[in-house]
Amino acid sequence: MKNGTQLTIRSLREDHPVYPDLVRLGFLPGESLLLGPRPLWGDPVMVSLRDRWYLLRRSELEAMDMEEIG
Amino acid sequence: MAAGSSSPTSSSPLFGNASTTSPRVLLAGSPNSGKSTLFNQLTGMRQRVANYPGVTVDLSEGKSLIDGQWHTVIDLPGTNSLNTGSPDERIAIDCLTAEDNSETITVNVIEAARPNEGLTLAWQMAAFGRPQVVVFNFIDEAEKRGVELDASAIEGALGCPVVLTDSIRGRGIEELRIAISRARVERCFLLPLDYPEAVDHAARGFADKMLTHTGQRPSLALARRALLDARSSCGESEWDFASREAALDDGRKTIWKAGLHPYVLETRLAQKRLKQLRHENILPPQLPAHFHPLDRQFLHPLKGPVIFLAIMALLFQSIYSWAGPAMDGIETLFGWLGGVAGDFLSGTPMLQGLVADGIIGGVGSVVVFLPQIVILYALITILEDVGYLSRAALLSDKLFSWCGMSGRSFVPLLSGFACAIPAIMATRTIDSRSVRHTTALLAPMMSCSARLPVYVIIIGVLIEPRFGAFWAGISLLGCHLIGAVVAMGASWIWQRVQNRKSNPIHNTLLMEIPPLRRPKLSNVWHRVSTRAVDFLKTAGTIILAVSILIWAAATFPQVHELPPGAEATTVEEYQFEQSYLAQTGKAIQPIFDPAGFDWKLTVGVVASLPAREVIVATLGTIYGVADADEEHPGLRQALAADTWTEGPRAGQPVLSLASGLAVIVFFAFCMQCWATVAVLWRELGVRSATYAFFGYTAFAWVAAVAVYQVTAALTGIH
Repeated sequence: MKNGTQLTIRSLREDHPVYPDLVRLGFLPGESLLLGPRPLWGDPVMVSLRDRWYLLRRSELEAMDMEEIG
Repeated sequence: MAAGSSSPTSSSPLFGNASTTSPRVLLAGSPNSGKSTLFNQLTGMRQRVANYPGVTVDLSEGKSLIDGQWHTVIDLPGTNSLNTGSPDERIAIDCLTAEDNSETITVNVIEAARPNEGLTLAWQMAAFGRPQVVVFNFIDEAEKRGVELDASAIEGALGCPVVLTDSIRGRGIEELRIAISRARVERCFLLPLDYPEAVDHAARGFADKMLTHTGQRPSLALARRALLDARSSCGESEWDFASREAALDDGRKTIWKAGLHPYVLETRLAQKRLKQLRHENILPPQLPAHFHPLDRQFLHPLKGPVIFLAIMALLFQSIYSWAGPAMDGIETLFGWLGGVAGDFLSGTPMLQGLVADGIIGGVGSVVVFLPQIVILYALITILEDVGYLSRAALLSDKLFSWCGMSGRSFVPLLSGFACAIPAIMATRTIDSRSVRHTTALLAPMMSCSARLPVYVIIIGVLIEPRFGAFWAGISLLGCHLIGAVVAMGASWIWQRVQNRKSNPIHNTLLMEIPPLRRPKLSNVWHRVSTRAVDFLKTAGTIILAVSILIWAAATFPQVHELPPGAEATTVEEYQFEQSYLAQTGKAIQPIFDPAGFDWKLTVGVVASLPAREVIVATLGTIYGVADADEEHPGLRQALAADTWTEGPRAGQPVLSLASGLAVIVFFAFCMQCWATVAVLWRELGVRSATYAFFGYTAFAWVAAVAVYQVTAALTGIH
């Protein structure tokens, strides 16, 4: 998925190690995310949730079941 | 208005004896919301501030005169929520949820440009029944972005005093003092969240079970936290694991049965209330996350890494190039001082030697590196203040993830280039215990500013005269990379060992990126001047004492005539060869002989075990005494000219490429800093600190020997 893609969180995987952190920071079902830049190598990606930017690994994004918006 | 349901029960060990203390003000809030700058404004103190999460990893305490009464102000580590996260957040959460008899006011600091998020924490805290003040900080920045806040409207909706501040410029600080006083005197509480009855019912059940098993009943607020926080530690230390887990499970099942999700519930309640406040125009509409134009460059897939490498190269190049004139000036000053002192004391040769060679020679050879340390600290502080380090974490995550660390490790490790102590402390921001442990143990491998003088001297003798300042700067960067490269290798091995033990390291990255901010010059000045003063204090105390000791050991026993058959050509040379220092150095030199160190370098290495920079003073004093009859040539020139006087290497330079590299490698890895060992002890325990000290020292010796032997075999020069 490209920089600028908008996503909606459908559900969270509660068995994922990063789940408590996602909930603590407000990554909840129904929230919208905007994908930001990612480096040429490696898999971290910047994600904007509400009015903040977060840095996540792709493996951490997998803790969320998401769908692309329009 | 009474709020919350906590019943103060006991005094908290976190705060000491409550009854004897003044009213306390807890500064809480998200990371980067400006708590530390507010703390500085309120107390007039100088708590370290920077624009990345985790600068405050410990409690800082100061006094502030508010409405004629002294208040104890406590700056807490940043946390977004009362749900347990990394170790630094646990410190904040423990303080905010501690039940004590003290008079405590909580000041919840929220970034004004992002007013919605911080209120979740404020509402969670409201359940603990302490008077609160809500501060919207960096109001100037918010106004520039078009965010308008009406403090009185928000105050009416929240139920506690609300203040708009700009902690950088000092705006709103007096209003904050008044609000703190009002919250304390008038008992102003924030309206708490409306927890459903099912949650309170489950919490009461959990509290009853805890009372049965441990004899202690937590307050309703604490029992709620135990059920709503997936990582809660409530009752952990006094309750057996199985029955505590069963009680938590029972409580959470009760909440589930009511159709509620225990971990998500609070955030949902907070979001609902925020939506209502926005709907009523009390809070402004939520803006999308701000993306600074500079971030397009810093985070660009191609330009980003180039900028990153350029910044790193500039950092080390500038240390070498910009400091030159100031270093020359200091060297000239100390040379002049030595000359004046020598002339003045020429009638008393012993005192002349002590002052000119021992004190001025020893201390001067260390103080000359002050400009480089100042430049290194200033540049790292600016990078921290701007918020660039968090961007670098994005770019460097791949570099660290293969070896079991993450981009989160980058911030503490880069800080380690300035000093290992704050770097070890900053690892508290890392959630994963094993990743935190690994990063803290590897932080001393980052080349701190105390190693700088050693590298500069070796490069100044071996590289600069032949290849010029540019390559000297590149070599300095290389010296700093040695530790980082080996640290990553060690982390990779550790990760493999852990995975083999079926104990895989859980390594997450998830972190908030702070907004880019202009560096605050007064903060840069404060940090740089503090470090410079510390450095000069070390020079004026430890290094002065060591210089006098080394001078005395190199000067006694006194010899007044050359005995027949002596190899030395002058009395001074013979006296130096027979000194206590030479005898001791020659006795222990065989330990370092395989690494190519002569007895003088060996004495320098041993003397610098408490603090690395001592080696420069030691060598400065030794060469000052050895060359007492000559015009003082400066340490670099003296080292470059020194040759082995005996043994198979007789006539060869003491500082060859092989031995020079061995010295660099030894200093890159050896744990020559008692303060670092003490911090490791405090953070990781005595066992880890002991292993680290002996492990690093042994590894440094092995690496120095290997580098010397290989380089000597390749170049043919020993």
